[in-house]
Amino acid sequence: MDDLLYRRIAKTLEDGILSGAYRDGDPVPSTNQFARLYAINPATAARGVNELVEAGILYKKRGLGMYVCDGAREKLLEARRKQFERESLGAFLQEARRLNIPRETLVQWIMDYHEEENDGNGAGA
Amino acid sequence: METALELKGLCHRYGKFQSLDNLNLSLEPGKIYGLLGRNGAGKTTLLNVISGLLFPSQGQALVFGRACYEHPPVQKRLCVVREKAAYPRDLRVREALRLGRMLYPNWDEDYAQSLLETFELNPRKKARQLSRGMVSSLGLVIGLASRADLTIFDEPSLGLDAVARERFYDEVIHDFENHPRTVIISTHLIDEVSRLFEEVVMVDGGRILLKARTDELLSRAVTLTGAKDAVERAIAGHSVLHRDELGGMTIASIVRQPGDDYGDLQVDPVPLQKLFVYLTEGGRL
Amino acid sequence: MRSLKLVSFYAMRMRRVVPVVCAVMLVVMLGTLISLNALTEKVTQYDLEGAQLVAREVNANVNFGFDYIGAFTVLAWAIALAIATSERRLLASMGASNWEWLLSLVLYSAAQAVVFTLFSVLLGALGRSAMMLMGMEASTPWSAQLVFTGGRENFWQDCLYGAANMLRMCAGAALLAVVFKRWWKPILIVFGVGIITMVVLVIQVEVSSYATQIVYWIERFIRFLETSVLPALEAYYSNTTFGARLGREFLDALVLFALCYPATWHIKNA
Repeated sequence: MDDLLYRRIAKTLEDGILSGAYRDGDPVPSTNQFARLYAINPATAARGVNELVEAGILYKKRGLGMYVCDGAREKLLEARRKQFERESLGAFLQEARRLNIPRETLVQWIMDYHEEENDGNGAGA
Repeated sequence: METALELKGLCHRYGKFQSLDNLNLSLEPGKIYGLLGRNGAGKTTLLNVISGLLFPSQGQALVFGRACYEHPPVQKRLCVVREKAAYPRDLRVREALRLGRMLYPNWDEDYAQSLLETFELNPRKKARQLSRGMVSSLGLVIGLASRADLTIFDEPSLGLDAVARERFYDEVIHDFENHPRTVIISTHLIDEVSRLFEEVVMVDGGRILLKARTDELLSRAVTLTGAKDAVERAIAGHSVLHRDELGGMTIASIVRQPGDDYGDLQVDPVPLQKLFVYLTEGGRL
Repeated sequence: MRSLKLVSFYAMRMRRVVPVVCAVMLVVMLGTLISLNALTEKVTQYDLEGAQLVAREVNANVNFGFDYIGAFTVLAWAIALAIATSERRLLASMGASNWEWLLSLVLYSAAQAVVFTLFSVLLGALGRSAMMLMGMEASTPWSAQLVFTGGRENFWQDCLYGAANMLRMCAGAALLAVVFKRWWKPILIVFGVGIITMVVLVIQVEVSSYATQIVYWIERFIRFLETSVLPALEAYYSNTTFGARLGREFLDALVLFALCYPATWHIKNA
């Protein structure tokens, strides 16, 4: 249900924090700025922002705006990891089952793939 | 806090035809509302009753606590931009704006002038020289520049090309941010405009189907896609809004229930326009 | 107050019409004068009696004072008609109340009556000045007063009455417009029935008992009008002093304007 507008805004902010564009203590765009940018109702934009406030990712400085909490990136990584395990991994295994690919083959593919990546770049993720 | 708009048992008849049937509604000020309904559902009749151009057969329509009719203190707080504008053929654009400036106390002339540029309107043109889209644009300029406490747009997108429409949506949000007011937009272009709405009111057959927050409405229903049996199992016991079958596949839209788990099925949200269509075709949330 | 602003709105809307009409009147007047002048010259050359005839005509024109007030009155009520129809609808759609429309119409009509009367006087004075400059003769020697008033005895009274009459015509036009807009179907039906009745009465056709009944009741209604309404009207119009005539114009205007409000009560503007 990430298509929902408020979720998209939340995701934009999350991605920004994860990529390091917004570091701990940095200000993030305000609700109104998002509303204006996407031409959506400010209440919808506010909901997206509030979700992150409730999750402890952002906090509000009176009269100044929204800022990134300390440790936000770690919290997000943790949450995204859990989501990865729950959703992406689940979907991945489901698909594999549908295609009748055994677990051992999957593991081998993952190991090989990783090695190819390393050989290619010489640097990890 | 006074309500911006209140309908109490509002009824209206055209001869034998019941165009508005016992409407009850209460809208808080300071929000942007969407008014959705099919052609002939009663939207324009409702707006005309609210603004005093038509009269209820029963009940009341109150703007900031009072009926509009013959009551300038309330009338000057309401601006209704109509689908069919009543401009005399020789009325020039700038004369229409002059009238707006005279009648609406919060009128912003600088804003009006900049809007003329935004919507590419020639102030010297007469009403009979304006295309359908330009007539609509003039209405939008007046509605936006009026800064009326309750501003209602009836089908503002008619005749406007995509560029003008996007500019209108931008202007609504921009101005709403700096000068909050209560806005009602009645429209057919549901998916395009729904992002402006905080809440949505749906009317059908002269009745109000629902009034709800947009984001809440969007998460109330889901569309499930998958194998026929799996889908049938998942939707059992749910209110089914719509169902399509293609070969061994079923696509069904249902109302969510707490604790739902759809397993392997593909889950998609139901866009507002589809939801509206399903509800007017008899679906129940 | 919004009503006052609306007065200036009407003035703005009508600002093109008035100069055009004045210009047309000016052209017509000068055209008449020039041809009259040419005629006078032709005639005095040949025939003394003819010259006297023309001189009398010119005299008459001077005494009638190039009376444009009639033309301006027509213009005034045409404008009132427009304000009572298309402008009223526009105002209603932009959230003006009926009483604001009516009040502004009354104020505007009054101001317009004063202005149009002034124009009428000026136009007449212009015409007579032109006559004087062209060397035409009047029954009495030219003077400033003759140029300005056209030899009229009760000049100021005539102006006042002209303005009041213009105001009443505006009121009548506005009421007519509103009443017709609202009740044109019943009006046309009554009209149609009336015409048919008259036809029946005149050609004395044998009609069914139903129709006879209707004719009977219409005859009774007409008789009622003759016996009670007509005498009252005659009494109302009996006093012909200037004061009474002027008062009647104002009273009529007041009543007609006032009736516009109930006539627009709950009128459907959609």
